[in-house]
Amino acid sequence: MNTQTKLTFLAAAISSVLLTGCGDAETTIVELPPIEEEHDHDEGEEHNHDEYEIDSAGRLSVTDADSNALAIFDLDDNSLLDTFSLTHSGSALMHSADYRFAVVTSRANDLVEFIDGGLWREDHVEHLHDYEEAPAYSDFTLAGSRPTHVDGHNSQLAVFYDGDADSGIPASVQVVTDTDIAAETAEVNTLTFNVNMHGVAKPVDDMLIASVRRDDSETTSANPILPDSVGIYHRHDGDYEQEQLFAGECPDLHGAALNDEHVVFGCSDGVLVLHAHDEEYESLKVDNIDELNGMRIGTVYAHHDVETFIGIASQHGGGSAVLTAIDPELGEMEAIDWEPETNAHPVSYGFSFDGEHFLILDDLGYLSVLSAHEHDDHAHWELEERLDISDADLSLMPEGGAFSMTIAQNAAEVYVADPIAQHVLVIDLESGETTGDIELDFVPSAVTWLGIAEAH
Amino acid sequence: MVALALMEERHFGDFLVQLGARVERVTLDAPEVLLPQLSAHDHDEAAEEDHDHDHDHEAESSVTRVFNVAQEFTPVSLSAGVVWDFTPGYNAAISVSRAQRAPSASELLSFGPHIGTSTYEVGALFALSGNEDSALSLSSSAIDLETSNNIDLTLRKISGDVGFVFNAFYNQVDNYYYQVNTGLFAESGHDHGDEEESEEHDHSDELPVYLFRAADAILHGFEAQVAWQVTDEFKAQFFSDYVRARLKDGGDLPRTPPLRVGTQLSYQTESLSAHLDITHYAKQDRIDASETVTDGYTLVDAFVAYDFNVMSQDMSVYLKGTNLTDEEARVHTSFLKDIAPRPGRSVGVGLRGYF
Repeated sequence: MNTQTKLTFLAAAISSVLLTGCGDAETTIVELPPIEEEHDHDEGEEHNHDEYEIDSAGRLSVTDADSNALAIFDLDDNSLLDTFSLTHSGSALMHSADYRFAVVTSRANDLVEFIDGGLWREDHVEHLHDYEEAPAYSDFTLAGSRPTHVDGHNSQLAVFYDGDADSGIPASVQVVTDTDIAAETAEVNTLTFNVNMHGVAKPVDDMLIASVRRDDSETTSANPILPDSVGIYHRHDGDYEQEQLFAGECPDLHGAALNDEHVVFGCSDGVLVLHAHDEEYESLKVDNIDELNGMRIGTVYAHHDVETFIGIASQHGGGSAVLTAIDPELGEMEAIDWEPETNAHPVSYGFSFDGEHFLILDDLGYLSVLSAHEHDDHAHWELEERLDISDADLSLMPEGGAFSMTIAQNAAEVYVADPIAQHVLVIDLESGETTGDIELDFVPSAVTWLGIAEAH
Repeated sequence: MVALALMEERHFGDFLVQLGARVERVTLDAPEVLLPQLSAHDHDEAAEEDHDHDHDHEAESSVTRVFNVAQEFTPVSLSAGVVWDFTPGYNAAISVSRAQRAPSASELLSFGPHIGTSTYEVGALFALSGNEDSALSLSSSAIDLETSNNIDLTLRKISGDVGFVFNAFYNQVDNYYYQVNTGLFAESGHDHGDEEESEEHDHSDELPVYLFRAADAILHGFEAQVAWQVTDEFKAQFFSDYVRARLKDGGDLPRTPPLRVGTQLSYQTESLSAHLDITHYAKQDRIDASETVTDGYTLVDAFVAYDFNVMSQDMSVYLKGTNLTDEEARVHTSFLKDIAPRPGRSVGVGLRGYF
């Protein structure tokens, strides 16, 4: 048998085997546990809401009047989360623009420190993402001469440094967001003036509306350390450049507030109202009214949902106070009769989180709750109720101590710190009831609410 | 995949006998095949109401079924052929074969949009369910090899000024895998977050669902080519091909090319070359129920080139035109025939240099 024949036989043999084997197909399918997913077709956004958002009453930072300690409480169960030792005692307490950080300002030591409250929200474009972590001391600090007024607006915090005439240090402003603080940014947007002043600044997007002190030879201020002008500054590469100046329009400027439409400054002869129009600001002056009894408005409050500004005129040293409602649109000012108790002197003010109420805490331990009523197309603010939040003997108030309060930004609640009873009361503004009591083992000097504010 | 193949051929006088065999081992492992609830729907009014009704539910859960799929195929193919030189310059051939093919991974496991064909492809592992919650479920049919039994007859003239090849074929295919238009539409997966769009029920984001399925089919047809060297310079070629593709149980297979008849006339001298191609595509009206008839058309293409020499450089200037009659030509085999016709008339002039 030759090779060819062998190969032929081999081919035939293989073919036969294959023919008898035929093709085969085998499929094995094993079903695994399914993946289940809940959908909410009609309310897709709320679906994300549930998934990423945290429902928390917030946190409370409380400073110790007798030491450099700052305590952070969890308002969900009123438990103490942590206590931090601040660099200096006697510091002022504020909150950052989005309420994540406690801002501790030591004017005498030229230092601003931050404590992370641990609750914050990030915009992840597709959804809002909330975070809840333990409070922490931030390594980020701001330094400047005489940090005094600290104002937050629309996610930006402006720290106004008065500067120091003796050292020839001019005033300046630094603007930071909560994100800047968390990231410990090295580049802080800064405006530096030519001279020191006891001033104020309000951030509006990439603008900064700040007081301006002119030369003493041309100022209209009786007290030259108080500015008499307002400048509109625009941010370019981290620095602010002046675009407009309202020169001499606000003698002895002190106190400012803004809502989405207007900015109001307290002046010795009335209030200066600025209003943006076609990218230019226009000014309007509202004169003082007779009811001020010769006093001037030195503090102004505003709420983004409230057209009316509240101006406070008070005597130095905690004297009696006159409250005014300022209508910036109509250029009107009227006194608010808040029917104070005899000898009651306000120690703290503020709008409730929804703008429904204006709150006045006085040194007699009363919380006056004002609300607005529409009448003749005017909003008239009137006393709605008065809550007695302390039955302690006021003579036991520690020297230099005072009641203080902070207003929650996610519920109609206010927290009042009582140095005599050494506790913080939680007061529900809807019911007027005290709904909680946070016991302290120290004398509180200041309180600030931290957490995730309700979006507006 | 592993394959073993053997080919043998031997002359017996005027006969050449050819034998071939091939055996393969194909394995396909897909440990996590996902079968999501596909809210596919058709676009007629009644079904649209149903669709809206589904979306009125405030909250519903979707369940994605998960399967571990392991497949093992052993296709075996055999062929035998005889070529008979029955007279000088001519031969005739007959070939019979039985060929097996394992379905591909895409034919079995596809489940998603195919951008190239603008379809939502679903593999043969799945089938229409008729279930309200999900249009598709796991197929209950066994996954089998595609097996074809084929006969080819060929007659050739391979010498002289005139040559030709005539071929006729008949294929009987068991489990022929092909894509069938289900008439349903599914979201392409783009813009899922755009609630407004889905509320307005905009169909722009939806693709037709094509399902791979296997069915017994019969394909038969012919190919013919005649070449005539008229002079040393002039040559004429004629060709035609045709396939009839139908399902064994009745009906036609989709996207089957129509009858094609054409000619190519060439003129070639040392410096001048010219071609004129005329091809007629017949109307295709043997169609699947989901298809539309495609009209016939004739394409005329021409090419003329002149070669010359400039400063010892070979150059060529040419004129080229395609679809000279500017016919609207739609390709019946394309998924996109209704969207993308063939290009209209184009004429190009060029100069080419050889270095």
